[in-house]
Amino acid sequence: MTAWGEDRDSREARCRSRGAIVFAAGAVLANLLAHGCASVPYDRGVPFQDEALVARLVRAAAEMYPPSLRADQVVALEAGGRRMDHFRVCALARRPDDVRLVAISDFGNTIFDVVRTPGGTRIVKDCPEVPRRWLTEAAARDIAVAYLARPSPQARLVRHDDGTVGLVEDLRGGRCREFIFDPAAGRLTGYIEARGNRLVYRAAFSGYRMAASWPRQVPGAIDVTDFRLDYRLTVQVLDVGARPLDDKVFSERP
Amino acid sequence: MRTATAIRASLVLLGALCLSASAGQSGPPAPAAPSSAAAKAPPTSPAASPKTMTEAGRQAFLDRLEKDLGAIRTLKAYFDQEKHLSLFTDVVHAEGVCLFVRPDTIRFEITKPFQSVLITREKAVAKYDCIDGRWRKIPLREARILLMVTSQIASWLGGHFRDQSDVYDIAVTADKPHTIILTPRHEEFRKHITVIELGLSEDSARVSTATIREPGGDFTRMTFTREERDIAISADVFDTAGAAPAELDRHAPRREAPASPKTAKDGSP
Repeated sequence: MTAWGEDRDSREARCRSRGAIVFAAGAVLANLLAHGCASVPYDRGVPFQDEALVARLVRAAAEMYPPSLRADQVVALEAGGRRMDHFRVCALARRPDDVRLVAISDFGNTIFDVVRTPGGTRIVKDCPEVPRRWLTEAAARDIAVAYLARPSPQARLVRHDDGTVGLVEDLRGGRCREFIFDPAAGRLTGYIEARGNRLVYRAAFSGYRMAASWPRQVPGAIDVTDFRLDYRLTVQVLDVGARPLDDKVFSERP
Repeated sequence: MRTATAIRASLVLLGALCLSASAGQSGPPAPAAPSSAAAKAPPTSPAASPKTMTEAGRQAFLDRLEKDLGAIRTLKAYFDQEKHLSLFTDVVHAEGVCLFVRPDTIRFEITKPFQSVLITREKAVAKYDCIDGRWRKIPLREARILLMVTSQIASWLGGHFRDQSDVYDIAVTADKPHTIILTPRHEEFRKHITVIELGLSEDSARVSTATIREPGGDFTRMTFTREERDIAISADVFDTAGAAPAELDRHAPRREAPASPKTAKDGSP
């Protein structure tokens, strides 16, 4: 693990000597202690039964986006407490878990290109200025959470004190995830992942509005916080639309 | 290391080309006779080996551009940006406006479908974005590189295309409308950008398009419109100290030219 704030050149230079490696390890540990372990308590809510509500929320989430889509957004990344430049991300996503995202600068040049499939994540085009760990572990995952992740009909229903309800599913490794809804509007307002009683990941969906290319209300803003990787991502959704996608899109170069 | 920095700077530079260079109004340059001994054509140009000017013709053409562009004191141009990605069946659009005051003051602003402003002025650089209706200043790690880039842009705006001859091979198409073709010399650079094409207007009086081509067929094209030259531009729009950029609408350029470059409100010489 490396500190978010370092660019790759400086990391490579630092690792040229043993002493530097020890120093880097210390920095990593300090970073872990300072940031990586930071988390907030997970409100598990109160379980209750309402099969009709579960069915309604599962359907609402499933119909929120087309199963195969293109999404256009501007994202701002804050990693290790440091705000980075924004970039425009054009994403292609297909259920259940295929994502291709291309980031471009204000000037139009491609910054990075990442593919995620069930077989893993590949970086087609790398960018030294973007934290590598975010590229390899998080960028495509964030897109998948935003546009592909959906609760199953077997999810457990819980109610929270703020009036929201959640659909909870267990994940591997003692983790769970919860899709949070505004029950009155039937809208997805959040997605969280937790380990034990601590949140490790949170995405908030807000600013619902009609998309130009999809006849439904979709979130205009997505705010992601990863407590384990220590970054925050602010996503300004520009447009979403259905797009048939074949397997070539998710190969490195169609 | 210097080469790496130059390459990185050039990468950032890419779209900065879009800060429309424009030639003066003193008439088109003399056309050069096409020749088989033309300047080296870009090997990666998507066009089928366009005929390029001879060495002598190219030098004369660039001399003329240098002279004409050197006369421009301020510039404002709107642009449409199209990013063509081979993955997508349609293009990614953006719109914006760029402002330039000699010698090195630049504002590059995206206005649609999101808002972003980059300002460089002398040794100062500021970048802003607008999220949820609120402008935020972005702390820049690469301010030095951005300054290098804008310095390079400024030299192009002044018509000094040959200043970067160590970074690019330069060719000019023989047929009108002429296109200045910049091919990166460094292999590492070409992994990101294969060629940059500056398309001139029919009369070679201004750059009408800038196209940045990448390996694999992706490219970005900027088309410039509503260009205004030698207008008075308020210094406020180039303020890099503020928490938010000054709004352009409040500082609409007037149609008279400043009395002299030294009297420009932004204080640039």
